[in-house]
Amino acid sequence: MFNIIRSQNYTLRRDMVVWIVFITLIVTPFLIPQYMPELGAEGLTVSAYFATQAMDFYFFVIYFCALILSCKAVASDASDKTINYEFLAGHNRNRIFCGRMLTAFLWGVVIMWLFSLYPVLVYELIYGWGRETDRWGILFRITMTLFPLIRICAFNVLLASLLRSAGKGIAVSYAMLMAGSLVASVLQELYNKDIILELGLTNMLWLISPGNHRNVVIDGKSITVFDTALSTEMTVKTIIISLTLAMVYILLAYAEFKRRDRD
Amino acid sequence: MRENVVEVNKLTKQYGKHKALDEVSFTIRKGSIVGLIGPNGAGKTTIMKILGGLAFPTGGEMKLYGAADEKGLNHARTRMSFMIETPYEKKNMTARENLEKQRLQKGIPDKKRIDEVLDIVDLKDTGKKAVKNFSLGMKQRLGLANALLGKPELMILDEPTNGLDPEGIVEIRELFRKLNKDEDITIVISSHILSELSLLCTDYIFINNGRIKGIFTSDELKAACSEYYLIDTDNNERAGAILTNDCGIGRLEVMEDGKIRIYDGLDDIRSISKKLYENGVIPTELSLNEVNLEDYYMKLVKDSEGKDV
Repeated sequence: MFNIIRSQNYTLRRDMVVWIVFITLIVTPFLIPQYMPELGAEGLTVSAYFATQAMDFYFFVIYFCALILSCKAVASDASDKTINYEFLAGHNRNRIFCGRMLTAFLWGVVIMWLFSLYPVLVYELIYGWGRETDRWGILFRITMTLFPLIRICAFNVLLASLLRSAGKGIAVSYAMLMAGSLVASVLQELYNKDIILELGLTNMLWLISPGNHRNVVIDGKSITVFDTALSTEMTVKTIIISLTLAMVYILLAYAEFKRRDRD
Repeated sequence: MRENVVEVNKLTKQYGKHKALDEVSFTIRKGSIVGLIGPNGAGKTTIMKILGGLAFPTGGEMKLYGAADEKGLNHARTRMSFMIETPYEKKNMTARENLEKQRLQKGIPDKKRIDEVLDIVDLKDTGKKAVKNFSLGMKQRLGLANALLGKPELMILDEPTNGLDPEGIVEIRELFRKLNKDEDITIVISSHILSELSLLCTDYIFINNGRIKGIFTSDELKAACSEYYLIDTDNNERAGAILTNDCGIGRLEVMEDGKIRIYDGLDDIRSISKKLYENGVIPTELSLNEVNLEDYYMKLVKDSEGKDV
């Protein structure tokens, strides 16, 4: 299994798309302020980054990058059939599946999650944290995004594995995200209820968006302070639903991988 | 008698209603070079895929190095190497990078092995050239390098000389011969280029429509591809009866054009022609010929339609 992971890592490190993804993730936090003048009004602090929802946009980028990397880790070599050489080398199907799944989690969850800390770290070092948000509340929220990332990654493992193509996996995953968001919005309108939040299905953006805020006067200056504390309900739902769905997706992917002939 | 490295018994593979393999049985002895011969769609690649664990059989059983259970089969595959359908290649990587990826995947500790196999297949000077810029022949060589990387005891190769120029074919043939002789590597090669295999193989398995049509050793095939007399007369129907009844010819074949091939009594052709003449049949053609491998294969496929070995 570790040989499979090492081999896949070797391939991904030499993939041009992976480098484009990394460059995008490195550059994006610095591009966002160019298009959000309100971000610079009070200084580019980490708090301002969250308060103006610039972080939402960055997480949207992370979502797509996680989608690309996880699909590539699972099935980048399925269309040219070079994946077959892992079977032919005598690795059993469990090990091949686990090796590829863990590679997908390494690139799609661990590395992406580390990237989610990157703008926080950079802005903290350059501009400081700011007053609008609580540091530990925000860091806890970022930590919690690990769970939706696991679910998203597991879903992409399933799609890429079923479709046997990284490209098709990326396309279908994106299409399903759009369709899912549309359906959720319609249901939300119909029932006038926050379905996305209730189900905890697509809640990665909710986690990094501190919602409630109030104006306070500090040192004679009016400041909008955000309530960064995450409710217990949201925390529990995020963990349980993300892990349960991830487990279901992985089991479905495994069942297909274990039983189906390779082309 | 050397051990069997592959034993296949009534192996069947069905895709929907189509039977890609129909109760195929054969064995492969250690140290042999086996030619798996059949036209496109005959079932050659399906056999290789099942041996390699890419496809599951729907019936029958197989043993690799005596192992029949999943764990044993996978362990046996670590002693084997395969090149099926397409040679190994990640198009944007160099030959060396491709082999490094495979080295990591196979868990081969010795990095120098990459240089050795690149040297063997004559790709050591490709440098930073990406595989996408390789010719088909170079890709085939890279596939062979990958197959040799793990020092296999058994190599299963699907059309390995496809795309090679005549000089390359000779080189690869010599390489196979050398690997077989010096390192005792058993080799299974599928091909439809029969003449090429006839210069190399020690055993032959003929397959068509998912069924085995014949299994021969090299000597048996040479005997089968024997000489014959082609006889044409003014009355071939009567000639056939005379040859069978009066001359005692056992192996006789009437061709589509009515001409007769006899495989027995070749040393006594003078008395055979005399017997025909005495019975009022005038021979108009009497020539000594030889069946080549292609002829024999075509005959085998045609004769055994519906019949299995």
